[in-house]
Amino acid sequence: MQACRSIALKTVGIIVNPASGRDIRRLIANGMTVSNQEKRNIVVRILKAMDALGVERVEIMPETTHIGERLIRDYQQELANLQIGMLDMDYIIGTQQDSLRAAGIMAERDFAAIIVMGGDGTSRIVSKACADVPLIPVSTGTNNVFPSMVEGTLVGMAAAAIVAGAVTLEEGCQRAPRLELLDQDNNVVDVALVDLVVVDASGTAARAVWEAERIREVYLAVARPTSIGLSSIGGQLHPLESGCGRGLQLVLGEGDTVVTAPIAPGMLSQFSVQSWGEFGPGQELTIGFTPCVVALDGEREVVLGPEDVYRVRICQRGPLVVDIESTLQLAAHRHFLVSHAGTG
Amino acid sequence: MSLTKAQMVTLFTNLVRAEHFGKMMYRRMMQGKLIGFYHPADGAIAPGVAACSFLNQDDPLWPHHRGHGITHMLSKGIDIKYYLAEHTGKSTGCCNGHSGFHYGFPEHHVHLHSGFIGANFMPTVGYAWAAKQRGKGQVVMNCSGDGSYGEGRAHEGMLMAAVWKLPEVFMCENNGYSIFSTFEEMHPTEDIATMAQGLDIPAVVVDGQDVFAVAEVAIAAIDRARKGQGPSFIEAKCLRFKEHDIGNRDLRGYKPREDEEYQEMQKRDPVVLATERVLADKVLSQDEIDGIHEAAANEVADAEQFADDSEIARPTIEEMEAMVFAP
Repeated sequence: MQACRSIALKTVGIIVNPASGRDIRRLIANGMTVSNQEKRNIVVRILKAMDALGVERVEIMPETTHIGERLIRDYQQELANLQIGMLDMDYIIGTQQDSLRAAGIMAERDFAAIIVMGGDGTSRIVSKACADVPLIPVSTGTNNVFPSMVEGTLVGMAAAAIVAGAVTLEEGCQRAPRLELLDQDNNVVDVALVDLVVVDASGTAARAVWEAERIREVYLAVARPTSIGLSSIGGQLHPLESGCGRGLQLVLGEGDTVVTAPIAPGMLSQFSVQSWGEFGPGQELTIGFTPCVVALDGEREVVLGPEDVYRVRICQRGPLVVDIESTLQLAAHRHFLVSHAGTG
Repeated sequence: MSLTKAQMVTLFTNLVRAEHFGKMMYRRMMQGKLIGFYHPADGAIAPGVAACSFLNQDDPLWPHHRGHGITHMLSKGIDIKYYLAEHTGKSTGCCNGHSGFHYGFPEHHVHLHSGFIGANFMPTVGYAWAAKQRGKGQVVMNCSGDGSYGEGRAHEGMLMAAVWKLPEVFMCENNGYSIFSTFEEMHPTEDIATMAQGLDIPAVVVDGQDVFAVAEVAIAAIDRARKGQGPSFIEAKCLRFKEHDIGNRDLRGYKPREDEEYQEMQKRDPVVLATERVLADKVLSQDEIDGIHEAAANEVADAEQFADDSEIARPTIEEMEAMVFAP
């Protein structure tokens, strides 16, 4: 049955990282390739689900490969309720700065939700500017701890349930923790949603981290044994329960404990752990290995010199994240997709 | 391997050299000091530098025609003054001043440089097949633009390279334009990399304005090929700051490109980005950067002096016939 409801409420934003799922890990590991055509297909399924459930307005971040424009050209006419628009941005430059600015604009305009398609790094960038607009992170990256690998149709359904108010933000969302990197003057230099890793490297270059022997320190907000990526080192040694509010620090080097962990697809590496332990919201841990490059959610971002004294802390100031599973459970419980003859 | 500090300095130096040579070529073309044509590579010099800075001397290279391969050759260690003399029609040129700008440098394993779109695929597959047979670890670096991937030869070449697991790196320098046609007009997909994926060639898409990012990918691809693991495909998304060739208007379709497009592109100038990076990463100081620019300017001036001071090539008919395959 074709749904006939209309949700003339807020706009849903979509940010697709055109660079995710195609980096150097296709060569040095066996990373899954997510083509931009497939990302476009995922967005189509999201749009069709939202359209069927009455969402009226979606805006897509413009980017250099024109995924959004192609969608409007090819699919707008197939949609009954939903109007697809391109987010109005003065310019795009083809870097993560585009996602950052897009998220800021979506927050300013009080969007109902932002669907973020990429890997951990993409969600990290968006989380820096989205304020309290809830995120729906969808995995199209390589190592995916923060975003979910979930069918686009279900993403669209969950977004519609949130936009319609069938599930409130309090019910459907959780506040994610984040790791903060502090400089000498106590400024928050940058953040990570999953892992902050200290790497013995010269620069940021292709950004990905895959050389196990170069990893010196690991700070984690999430540590699950079911994850791959840098957080898996902690996930195999000392899993943290999701939402526990505590972080995990590992100092690598000569030690009695050796952890084997999948830090990239198909790439299990061994790590000798010198020391490790949990840390709480009140603690600030000093990075001991310098000079170094600090990788945030798997991407080399910040270069520290030999004299730099930077600290790491964990806090509950991460983004609001829609839990797709519990949102759809609640929506079903409330018969969001059920109508009865004669009741309209 | 992630880049060492020394590798970053090499890349930065070659990028600056490429920029200085590119500006000189544009100026000399406008001054009437070059013969034939010149297709400027301004804005898109990072992929060539990244692809070629860490090749071995005996690795065959097919440079991209944009910028006439100067970026690629200088990165491989070839002295550009012999190319400049060639393009100036002088007897000291790399082909004795006979070739114009469709040259070869066989002693440096640059066997032909052609303006025919897609001409690179069949010969490079041949060289890669030969390299595999010889078993000396040679890798073929095949650099070309997005326009060339609309040619049937590209599909055939990649198919053969994949089936025979040849030691070839396909470096696609995608600047979004095939002369005047936009990428969207010429390709149904967002990325050319999907063509390679369809042939089971590992493919990476990388920011072609970032020389360090492209270099790490290129090194990994070269390493795969050298180890006998077969071909790789790299799509470096880059920008074209100038017209297709000097003398033609810079069009998007049949309309001039907008000023706004130029202004936005300048924010992603590869030299500007690399300079920011080496300073932020504490790889080079501003004084060291200034020194690299000064050395590059001197190198260009020396090359011009060499070309200008050389004799004009005046080959006899017999000499010209002796240098072609089928007179």
